[in-house]
Amino acid sequence: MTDLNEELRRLADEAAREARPLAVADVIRQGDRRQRRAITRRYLGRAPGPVTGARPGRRWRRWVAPLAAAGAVVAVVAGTAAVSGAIRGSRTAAGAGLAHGTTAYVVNSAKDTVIPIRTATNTALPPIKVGIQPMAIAITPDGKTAYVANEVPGSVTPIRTATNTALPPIKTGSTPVAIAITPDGKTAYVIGGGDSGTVTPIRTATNTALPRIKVGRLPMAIAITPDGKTAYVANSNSTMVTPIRTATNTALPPIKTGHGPAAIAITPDGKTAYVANGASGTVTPIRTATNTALPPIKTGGDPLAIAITPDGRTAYVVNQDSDTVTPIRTATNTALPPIKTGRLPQAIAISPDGKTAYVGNNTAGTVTPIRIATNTALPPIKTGGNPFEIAITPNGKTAYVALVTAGVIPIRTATNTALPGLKIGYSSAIAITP
Amino acid sequence: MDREEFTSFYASSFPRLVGQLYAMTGDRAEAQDAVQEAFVRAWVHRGQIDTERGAEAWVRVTAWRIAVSRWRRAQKGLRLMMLAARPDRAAGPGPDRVAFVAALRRVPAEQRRALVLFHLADLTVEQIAAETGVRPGTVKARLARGRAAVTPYLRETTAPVSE
Repeated sequence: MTDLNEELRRLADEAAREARPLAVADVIRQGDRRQRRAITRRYLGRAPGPVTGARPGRRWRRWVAPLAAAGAVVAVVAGTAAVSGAIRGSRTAAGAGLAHGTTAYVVNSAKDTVIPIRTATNTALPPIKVGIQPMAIAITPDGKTAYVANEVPGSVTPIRTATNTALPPIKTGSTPVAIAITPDGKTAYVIGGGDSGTVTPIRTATNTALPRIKVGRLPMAIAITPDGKTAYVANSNSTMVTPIRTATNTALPPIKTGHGPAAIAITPDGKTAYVANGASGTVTPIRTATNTALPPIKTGGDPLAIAITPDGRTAYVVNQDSDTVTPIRTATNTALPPIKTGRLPQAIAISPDGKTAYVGNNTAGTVTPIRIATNTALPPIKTGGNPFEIAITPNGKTAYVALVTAGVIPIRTATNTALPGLKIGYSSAIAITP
Repeated sequence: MDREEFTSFYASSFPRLVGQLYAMTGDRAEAQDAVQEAFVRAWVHRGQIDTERGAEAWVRVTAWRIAVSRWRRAQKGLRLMMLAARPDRAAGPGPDRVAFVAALRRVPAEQRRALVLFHLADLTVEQIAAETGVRPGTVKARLARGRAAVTPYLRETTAPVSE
């Protein structure tokens, strides 16, 4: 007589025998892509202020505001999405903005929501429902609209920040992974499409999608030059970056990089785009005037994030496999000695004053502040979770660290101490209004 | 967990987990998909997963949540879900098995999950409580109810294994 044990076992064994697992290499590749995707999104987020030293961080993609804004503050982006880097139009405007306080938008991709956080008080507002599996967020330079990319079914949900209400979703290419917005705020570029990479331009005035632009395999990161003329798309399953002329929304001939380009950052002067080649362990500088690649610079293992200081002098490259950050002197394109971080560093953001880079160490559960003047690591800050994305407020007072499953923890930058965390669940991306 | 450890963990535990998820969900394709997706996430979060034993539980919990959330998205209740699960195309040997599966499907999802963890994954009541986030007393009650619900079918369907 069979008992429950045996019967269950027989049932399970049959299913087990017929299990057809993907090759482990494919599982790892998919996982890595997701990680990079998340990271790349972060980059987008920041808009650096122009040279003034706004924030260095991941501004690249979104160069959005830079030019426009004078020294403006950059929005920090943390998470997935591109951040909106909205910079404020002018310094005065910026000042005014501060009076109202800024809002950090945190994407919860498990609950399909975006949670606004008032940065002045560190309080969470009611969640805003978006599409399924939101992974990236970017905010326009004027701070009025946040765009959230939903992986399923491939759409972008605009959120009106004044009221925190979601507008109807805009259809994009499949599996959108990152967003960048032009400095004039007129166009949002949404990348995705997996190995049949696409870029969907969205006219922000009407929230309508324009015809899609074909790019390379598995786009992961996008950055727009401060003058808004060119968007660079890193095709991570290839050795190519595709420049896009924004005036005509046409793809220009691809530029050869190293293997697995996963992140891009552009200097505040717009002259050089730095591309992190995850699979090669190098960074390729691209001269934007001619779209030509310069010789690759050796970094650590699996670089997947880059941030540039507001003065444009140094690019910081996060090497997740070496547990280091490699500073690159942009004047000479030479790598300086690596700086040790905690285990599995994945996120970086630079304070608007350009004095400190914050590096999130996923496995270590810490954030390592790096003093930029000396390129030395300061004592790590415990987060109580696994840092995934970092965004810094435009006034530079607070760094928000998105923890994979444990919500968000604010860090007071003046003292580098953690404030009480906000338990808002899975946090995969952050963007802060200008 | 580094690449090598993950590779061996994946190879050794994938089939077993698909079997367990199938017994929990009653849908072979869903079980395979959910476990596959859970392993991708396991790689992403490998930094937080230390031991292999912990990793297997992590993947199982994640796969279960994935399966449940798909059901919810399909706007079916958990119980309905099971009942409405695709017919078991590869139902394999004999009508007896089919009857047992049908009986299992009628058991509420969390009871079925407890049964599988206890009888198939060899977890203790305390371990099941930890994995499913309820108190041990609740686990015991689920096990008792689940057993009571399927035992009659076991008796009726006691048939020689066909293979």
